[in-house]
Amino acid sequence: MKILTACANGSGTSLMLMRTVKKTMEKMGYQITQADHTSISEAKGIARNYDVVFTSIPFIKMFDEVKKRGGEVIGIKNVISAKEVEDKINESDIPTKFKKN
Amino acid sequence: MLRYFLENHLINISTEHPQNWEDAIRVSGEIMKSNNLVTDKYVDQVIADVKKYGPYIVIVPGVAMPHSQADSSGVLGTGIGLTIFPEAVSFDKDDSEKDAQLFFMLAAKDNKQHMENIANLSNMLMEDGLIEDLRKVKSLEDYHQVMDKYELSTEESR
Repeated sequence: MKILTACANGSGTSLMLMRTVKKTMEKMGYQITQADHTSISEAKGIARNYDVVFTSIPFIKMFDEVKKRGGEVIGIKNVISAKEVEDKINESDIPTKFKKN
Repeated sequence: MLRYFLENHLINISTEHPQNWEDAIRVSGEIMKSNNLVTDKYVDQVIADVKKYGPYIVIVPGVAMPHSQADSSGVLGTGIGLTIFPEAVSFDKDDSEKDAQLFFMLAAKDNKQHMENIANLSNMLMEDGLIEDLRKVKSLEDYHQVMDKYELSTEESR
């Protein structure tokens, strides 16, 4: 699975979120083949190359188009909370779309 | 990581409460400027970003991570500076979850070093009870005590 995390600048929050998501998903048994972090402005252009986009909640509306195309977009409130990431993944379509190892 | 702030003179325990969040970001820029990590230009950008995007830099209740574009010309070096205020600072009067008392300002010139810093910072913030303990710090002595308490369990950097 290819994941992208995005925040305003692409250098702080998105990087922290990428670590949390990658660690949590691998622990849950998903195979992450690619993980990148970037800014909101860039993310809109490259989101199509990823299976799931994670972003902090204030930015989630920026990804309406990705959602319309059927892409998974997940908003996270606390970027260091493994528990929140895990819960949000389980609530999403990820468990049915992707199989675990 | 707690030791990193101390050893690199990147800790500021402020005894004065800032007037508002903007002032708090300016104060947290001081320790970065005195270490030649950023210039005022960067601090201005951080403030402009918050005005534009909202208080997204408050990453967990109580903790702000002020930062702006990594390629800004106001960034001179790579590092994280910690400023602790006596009380929480409000970013959004309608949302107390966006109050912050610990300000970790980021500067990222060297990407690899920055990745390591962020990894260490997130590991540190994930330690149970650490954020609460740091929020109670009023002096360097207090800070040393917190450091002693978490020393064994935190990964060291640098």
